[in-house]
Amino acid sequence: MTTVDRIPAQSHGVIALSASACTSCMICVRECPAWCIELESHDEEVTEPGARRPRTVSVLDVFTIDYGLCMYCGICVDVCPFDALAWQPDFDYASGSATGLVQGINELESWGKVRE
Amino acid sequence: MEIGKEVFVTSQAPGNTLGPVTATLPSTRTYQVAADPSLRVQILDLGLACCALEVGSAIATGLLVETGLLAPANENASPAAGTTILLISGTVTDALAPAVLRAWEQLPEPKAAVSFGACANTGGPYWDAPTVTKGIDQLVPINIYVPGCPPRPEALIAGLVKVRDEIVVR
Amino acid sequence: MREVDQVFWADEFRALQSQGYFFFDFLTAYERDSQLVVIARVANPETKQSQMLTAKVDAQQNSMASISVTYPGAIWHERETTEMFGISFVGLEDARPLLRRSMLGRPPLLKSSVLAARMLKPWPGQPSHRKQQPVGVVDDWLQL
Repeated sequence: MTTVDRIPAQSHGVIALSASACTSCMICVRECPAWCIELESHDEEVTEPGARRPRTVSVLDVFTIDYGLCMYCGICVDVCPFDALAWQPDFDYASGSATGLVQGINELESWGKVRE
Repeated sequence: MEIGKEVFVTSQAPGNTLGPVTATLPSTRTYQVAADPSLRVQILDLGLACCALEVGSAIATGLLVETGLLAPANENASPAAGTTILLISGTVTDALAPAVLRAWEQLPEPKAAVSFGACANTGGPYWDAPTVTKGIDQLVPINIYVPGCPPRPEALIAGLVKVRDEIVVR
Repeated sequence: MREVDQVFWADEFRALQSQGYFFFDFLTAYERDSQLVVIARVANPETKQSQMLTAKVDAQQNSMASISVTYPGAIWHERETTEMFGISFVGLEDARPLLRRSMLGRPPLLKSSVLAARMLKPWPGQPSHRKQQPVGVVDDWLQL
């Protein structure tokens, strides 16, 4: 058994994002005590087959978590009404620079995919 | 500074109204890099807050050795033979920062510094506190930042591997 | 928890120590509805009983009697409370700050003190179409 396998699945290793579940409601950004989440989005109209009129949906442009600042309290995970944020046990993302700890949509999504 | 002995670091920075700042540096632990036994690293743990428990856990549970990355070095070997890693874990206050800087300055070359945990990285949960240094990298050049609040013991190993890789390349 | 008049603060602790409460636990302050309150706890290790006392700080004087003569362990706590809340302790000989490098500016733990870091960093939660305040800033908080 390797070291990684011993770590409980719900341990506070890293917060992963499911961008498709995120509605850009900003609740996580506003509740974060460390102000370490940044979110930018724009609205798009989509017309679903059979629908009378197009529906407006928010599309994420930017979603970053600064893991240099993050205090791993999990408030963002708890308050998200759409379960777009989830704990993942990964820990191996040390960086050679402080700005290297800021993780964007791609990295945050990749953590979620590892365990799915 | 004599490595492996308890030493006292005092600082009397200009404008410091607090008088001398004293910190006790713990003993270093010397390891050899398993992949290259000629390489040695000494880890000087400067534990300033709760993160120190995770560092202690990594060392006490033998994780460093168990993961096959590092092996305990021969006690008789000269400690000056290898790179010294200053491991800064925990909250650095402005009052204590001069002592941390002195600890770094007194370490012999070759040396590397690891910032362990959110407080040392950026101030973390104390990012808005008027008394906390917002990132020890303002004072000490940091080779690797280990994220977490606190980081797991395994995250320390992962960070040390990155430092080791840097040293091997150098 | 028992509230006492601030005039009798030091007397109460002298009485408690004579009753066997010789273990000092902590002393600090808090602010509620613009009123500063000092709170301290002492314990009797033999009976495993403890007493927690509070006293409102007089807003005009902003000072309390020190209990550090009765409980030398309170010196560190009173120094910290002076540094963080600006309450002076009469009879505390060593009032050097622990963490603040400069005593310029307001005591940082008063609710009316604006934290510079929160002024300088833009709040990432600010909505574009209306004004909203982050948690933990004063009412007239204005983003610089």
